[in-house]
Amino acid sequence: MPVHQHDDPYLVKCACAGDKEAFAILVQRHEHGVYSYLTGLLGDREEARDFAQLTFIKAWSNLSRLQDAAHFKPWLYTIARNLVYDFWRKQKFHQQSWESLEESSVVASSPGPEERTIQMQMLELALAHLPAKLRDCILLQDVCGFSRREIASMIGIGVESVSTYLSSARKLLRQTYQRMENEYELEKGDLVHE
Amino acid sequence: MNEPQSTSCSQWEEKLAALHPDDLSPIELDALKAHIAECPACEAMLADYYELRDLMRRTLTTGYTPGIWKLFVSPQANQDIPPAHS
Repeated sequence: MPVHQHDDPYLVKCACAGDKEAFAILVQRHEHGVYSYLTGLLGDREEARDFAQLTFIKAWSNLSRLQDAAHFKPWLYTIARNLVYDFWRKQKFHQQSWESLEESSVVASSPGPEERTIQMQMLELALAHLPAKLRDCILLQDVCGFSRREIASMIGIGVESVSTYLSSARKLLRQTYQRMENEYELEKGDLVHE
Repeated sequence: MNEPQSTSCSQWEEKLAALHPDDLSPIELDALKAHIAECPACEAMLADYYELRDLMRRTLTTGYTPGIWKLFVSPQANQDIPPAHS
């Protein structure tokens, strides 16, 4: 069987034995997801790219510490998450990236772009309004595909707490997005009448 | 998106927010489906949650060209990557 067709645990074992090609395949499989998660968490695509790179370098260097090859994916996202939280702790500015994003009002900064682009900008802004731990939980479930139990294990809190965070995150995201959508529709209507 | 005034039933909120297939047991899932069939507000909320999830996935991956894997196969880059601990 060609090496790229093997599952993660097999590739992890090969990589543990020093096979960089096997690790490169693991990176190919997961880098999109890790980047998306980091973009959602950080609110900055360039920063997310740098952190994604750091995540995989750190994963490669610490691969021998992974006790169960079947847990590679949650282990990898935990590395990504820890890197961001360490960075936030050192910098003490974990809202800064999002604040700079918020400064560019969706409507004011984008006169007449396509509806889809507007939706995406509103979603990024709505995500920015979530407290970090709520944002983290919803990203881990919706973007990374982890269950409540897996998230609880990664973050080190109870499943019930994850359920509460997820529920709060979804409600808040929906409310904020709907408010932005309504404001955009109103503003669009005003522009038509001017 | 559905109208903002549609609010779900509080006792179902956490189950509505559990979108991963492993989050709910078959019994819980059946109960939720039965409730949604009778409750337009919860049905609308669930539809919005799925819509936002799909939008989030599209939004956060836009514009990214995967390339980190090349660090582990390019001979030149290999020199910059520390060896794995054995």
